[in-house]
Amino acid sequence: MIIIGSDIEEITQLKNNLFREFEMKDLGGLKYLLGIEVLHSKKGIFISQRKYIIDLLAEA
Amino acid sequence: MTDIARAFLTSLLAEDIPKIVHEASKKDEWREAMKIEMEALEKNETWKKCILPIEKKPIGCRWFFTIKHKADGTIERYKARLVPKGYTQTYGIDYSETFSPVAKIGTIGVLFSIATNKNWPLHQFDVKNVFLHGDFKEEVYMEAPSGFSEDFQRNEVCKLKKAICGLKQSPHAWFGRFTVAMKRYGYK
Repeated sequence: MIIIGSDIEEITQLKNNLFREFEMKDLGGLKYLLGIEVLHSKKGIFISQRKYIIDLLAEA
Repeated sequence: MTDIARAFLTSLLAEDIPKIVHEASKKDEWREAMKIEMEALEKNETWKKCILPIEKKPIGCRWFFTIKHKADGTIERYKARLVPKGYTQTYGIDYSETFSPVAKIGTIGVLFSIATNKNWPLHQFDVKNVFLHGDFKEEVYMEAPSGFSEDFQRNEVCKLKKAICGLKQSPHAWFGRFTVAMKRYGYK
C-alpha cells in the first residue's frame, strides 16, 4: 500500500487510523511495489523492473 | 548480469525446494516451518475444527514451500504456507462474490509522476496477513492439512472462519473490509 499526498497532517492521521485497525508494517520510503523498483535521488526518482525480471528468469 | 544477481540466481537454483509434504517432512527445517505456519493459523483462529456435516464437501489443501533469501543470496528462512485449493470451490456453494480491484501499472506511473513533480514523499506500508482481516459469509470446509492428521479425529475437518490466501473470496473480503474502514475515516 502506498499513500501519496500533499497534506502531511492528513497522511499522518490516515496512517494512525490504519495502524490502529490493521496489523501493519511501515516499510519507509517507497523502494519496491508490484515489480517496480524505485531509487531516489535529489533530482527525482528512477524506476526499473530489474528485480522483477531476475525473479521471472529464476522461475522460467 | 551483475555478480550479485548471478550469486542470487545460483543460490536460488541450488536450493532443493520440496514439491510435496512427504519430501519436506524428511528435513527438520521444513517440519519446523510447517509447525510455525500451523501455530500462526490456529492463533489467528483461521478455522474451527468440526465434524463434516453429511451434505457438505470439503475442499482440499496443500503445502507450498519457499526459501526466503537475503539480498546477498544467503538463506533467511524456510517458509511453509498452507493453501486451500480455491480452484475446487463451486460458485454459489462455497463462494459468490469475487470482484476485487487491482491497481493498473499506468495508474501507478501517474501517481509516481505527480508525487515526483510536486516533491511529495512516497511512503510504503504493508498489511500483515492481509486476508485474515476479511470475513465472508459462505460455509467453507477444508480437509485436515496433510502431515497433521494425528491432530484431527476421523471425519474432522476445518470450518474456515477467515479468508485465507487461496480462497476464491479472499481478495474480495479484504477489499470490503478495507472499504468499510476508509469510509469510516471520511473518504469516499
